[in-house]
Amino acid sequence: MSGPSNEARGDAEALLTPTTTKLGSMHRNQVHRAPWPDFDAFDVARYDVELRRHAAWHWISRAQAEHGSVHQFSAVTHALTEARAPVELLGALARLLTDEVRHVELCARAAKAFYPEGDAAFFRWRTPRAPWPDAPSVDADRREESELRLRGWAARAILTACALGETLSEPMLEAIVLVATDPLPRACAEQILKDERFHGRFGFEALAVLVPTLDDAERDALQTQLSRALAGFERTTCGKVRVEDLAGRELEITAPEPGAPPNLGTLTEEEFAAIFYATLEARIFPALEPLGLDPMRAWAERGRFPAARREASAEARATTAD
Amino acid sequence: MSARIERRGRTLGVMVGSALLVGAAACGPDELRVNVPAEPVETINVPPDPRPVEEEAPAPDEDERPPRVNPGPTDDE
Repeated sequence: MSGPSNEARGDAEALLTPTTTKLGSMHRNQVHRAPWPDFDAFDVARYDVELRRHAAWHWISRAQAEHGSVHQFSAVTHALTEARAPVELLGALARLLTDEVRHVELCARAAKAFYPEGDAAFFRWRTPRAPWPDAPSVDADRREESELRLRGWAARAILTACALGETLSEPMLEAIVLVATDPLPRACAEQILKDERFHGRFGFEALAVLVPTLDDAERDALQTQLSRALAGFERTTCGKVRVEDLAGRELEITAPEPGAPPNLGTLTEEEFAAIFYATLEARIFPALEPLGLDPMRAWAERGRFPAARREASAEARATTAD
Repeated sequence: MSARIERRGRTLGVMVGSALLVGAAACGPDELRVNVPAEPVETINVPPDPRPVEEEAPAPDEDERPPRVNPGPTDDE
């Protein structure tokens, strides 16, 4: 490609830049789903700039999280292929990849539509980083053991990204669909919501296939990963809100009445936290127990996994794509 | 008190139960999220990321990354 560098154009814009006619057609056939939102129809003049900037920040942050999912699921696909996993597992996983590309585009285009004033710095794009060590390599002389380690690694990744992450996303998107007052964020959230339901279910189904093939050491590692992931999700999802602040309370997230303040698809920190805690207890923990995991023990032990203290944060280390 | 999430017409009811009142959170409430770009954080609340956190990521060596696996486009234009 020629033209200005990614940095000069803003990385998000670079990711959305058309390539060739045929590639664009292949991409749309594979990734776009009807009805594809009409991003150009968004009426910037209807909304205050700060509201649009706030929403754009939410949506561009989600776009980058979705981009991270493409990165993660492609690595899981790679590992399970090396482990000679059943093709049905690979086939279902391949759909997740396509879906996540769709989510990147939906969220990034929404963010750009909401805040066309955003400069390159606002839309700077982080290099995706896997939140776990790379998959173990295959030792040709010890293939059975190598494949066992690969299945264990993949199980930990799927537990974290799908059984937890995607299942948590579903009610969050359901709430975003409810509170959005504009058709564009509502349409984007509805499209993503359809996929997240599938992704969460994939996680539990895949674990039902993988976990019985693991040895005791890999099952222990999976239990430990559950605790680590719960700690990480609580930190990044709940902000300053703690379960003690919400236990025994019911929040009602309601579609706004006519004339209510505009909302471009954002939730409050308390709403995100309430959904997180309620979803863990009501939906995720009961589904983990049949897999032989002990989610309540993992939850009680999550304090063992504080945030990593580094001289430079992951974000500061990350470089923008070039 | 049991947790539940249920859709009631145009309302999503989110009940937080008391079963999770065990153990301690893994960080203090004032800790900043590490996956937040620095520039806008002081003026804009950022959404939580219900995805695996990047804070535990090892410093990656790009050369050691496995190659991407592409699902393969369907050329059915």
